[in-house]
Amino acid sequence: MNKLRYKMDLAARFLESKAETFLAMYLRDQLKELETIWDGLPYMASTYYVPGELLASFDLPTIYIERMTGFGAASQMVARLEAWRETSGLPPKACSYQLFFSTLIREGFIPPPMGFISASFACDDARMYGRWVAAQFKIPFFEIDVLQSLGEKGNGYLSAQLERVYQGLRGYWTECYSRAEIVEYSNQALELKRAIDRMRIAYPGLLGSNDSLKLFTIYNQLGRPSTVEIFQELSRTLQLKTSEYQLPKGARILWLGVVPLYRNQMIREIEQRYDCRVVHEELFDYGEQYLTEEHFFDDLAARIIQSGFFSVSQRIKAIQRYVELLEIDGVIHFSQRNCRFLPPLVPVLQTRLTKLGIPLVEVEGDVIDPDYFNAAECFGRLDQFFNDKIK
Amino acid sequence: MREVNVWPRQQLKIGWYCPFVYLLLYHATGNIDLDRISWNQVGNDSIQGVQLCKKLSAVNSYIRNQVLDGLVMVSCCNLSHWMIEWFRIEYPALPLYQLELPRHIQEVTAGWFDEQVSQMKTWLKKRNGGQPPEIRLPKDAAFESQDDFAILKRKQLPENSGWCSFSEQLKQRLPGLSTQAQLELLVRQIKCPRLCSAQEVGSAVGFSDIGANQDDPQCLLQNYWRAVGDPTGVLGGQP
Repeated sequence: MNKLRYKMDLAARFLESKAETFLAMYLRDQLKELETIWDGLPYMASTYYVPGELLASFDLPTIYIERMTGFGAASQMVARLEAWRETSGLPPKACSYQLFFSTLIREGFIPPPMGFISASFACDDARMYGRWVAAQFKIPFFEIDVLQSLGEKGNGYLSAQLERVYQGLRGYWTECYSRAEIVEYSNQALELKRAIDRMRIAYPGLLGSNDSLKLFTIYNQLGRPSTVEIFQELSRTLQLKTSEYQLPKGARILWLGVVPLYRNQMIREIEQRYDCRVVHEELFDYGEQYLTEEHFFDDLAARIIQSGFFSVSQRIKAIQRYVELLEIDGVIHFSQRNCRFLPPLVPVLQTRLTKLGIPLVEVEGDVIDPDYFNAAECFGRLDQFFNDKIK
Repeated sequence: MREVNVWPRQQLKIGWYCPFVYLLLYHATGNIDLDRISWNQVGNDSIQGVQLCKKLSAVNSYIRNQVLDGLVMVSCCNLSHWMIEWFRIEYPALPLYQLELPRHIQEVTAGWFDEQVSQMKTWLKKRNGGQPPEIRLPKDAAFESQDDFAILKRKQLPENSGWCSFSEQLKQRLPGLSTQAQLELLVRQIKCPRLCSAQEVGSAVGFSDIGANQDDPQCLLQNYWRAVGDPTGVLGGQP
């Protein structure tokens, strides 16, 4: 049996036994799609911000590389990852997410994709990786170029590309869901997510950050009926928890960036060690752009442009909003090694947040490769932060 | 790196490093002097732990030494996009103009380039004490003569290894084309690691003049470009 299939099934059963139903459903949903790939159906590889609704119309399994890699790293599918780099052909500074995904293919855990689709936002490096994979396997490459500095003025350019990619996909696959159905499923999921977010604001810490950071990639599944079911289950679970909710004691922390996937209890470790509570994470934040049939591609483009990560001012605004709503005492930013998307922004965030009186600490490491995570150094920095900056 | 205060401040001095920028700035010379930023000989700098590519290292050094009255930057990649924000915070008095270059010109409307030229003119006017700089050519106009084009040859062009530079072949093709046609040609053919996937099959400029020792270890675009090899011959499925 494929080791990846075994580990995913094991994880789903473990979650079911702990009654963490919504996470189990999410994992089962991914496993179901992977089963079709292992059974021989060709699939599309994609990067994170390519809208799920673009692909949901088609009878086309999709593997989002960050999500697949995330599960693989959490399950420690590949040991001594860096040793694979030299023979991989990837650049020395390429992100370990990319190296890990290529290694999963090389080791036979997943077959090579039959196409690759990528957007330059959020990660332009991931777009380059997609192009590289396409060249390696001589497969079609669908590229979406996002011009960030244009803001809303870039909607037309982005929208036209989304439509071009969609039309390109139609040349390969048949549509199994109508536009109306995709819009309906997407909007239902977003409506549920909005209700979930309201609960998370009203009851800080109600949804554990460990769970949020496992679930946020469900963004890639908007437009599918199963996503609606998963959000319904999450909503039901949270509603039940409100009856026994107690305000978190100690400092309230906002988590920015990622978390080491092989050390998935790290946030709990931090909460126990410093008597604090991580009450929010920016990654599980999608904005509230609903879709219409008439302006489908414009709406998808608008959602990308409205993302908190799209500009510095939008990200600061989102952080500021959560600081005020959740009475945040401090911010932890976990920076991924070799990442050129979030870490370069830390000096800017540090400057802006200091002006607002919000302390920020940056801790670093490789969330995929444990060989590049120095726990002593990380906790040393956090010790200093909580001692000196957090009242 | 260059010495400080070597420039007699008689004219507005605008820094640039990208051939696309130069093409737009070319139309706004006159009382503005363009200062090409070279990065080929510099090392890799860092800002608060953020490792910079050679290009941004050179830009950082220029800004730090305060030798410019303004700077036109380009969003090449994630890093350059955010570093523009950083420079805006650290050097609020330094005028910065950010140019965006589309990879897919088929989705760009005809007004795109006109708007870029127009915005840059407005920006330059503000830099120039509210006075419009001497704009040599109106939008959509062709280079008027071979003499005008000579300015392009006389001025320093980027010579940063093989990256981000004009080829002789390309320079020969530019005269006589409208602004938009020139830019479209550049998008397809310039030696730009950001735009290489939009290059024309079979007509892309080769990168054979780039020595391995001239690669920038911190520029992932360059490194991926190298890893892929021929960017145009293998992507047969590009929709």
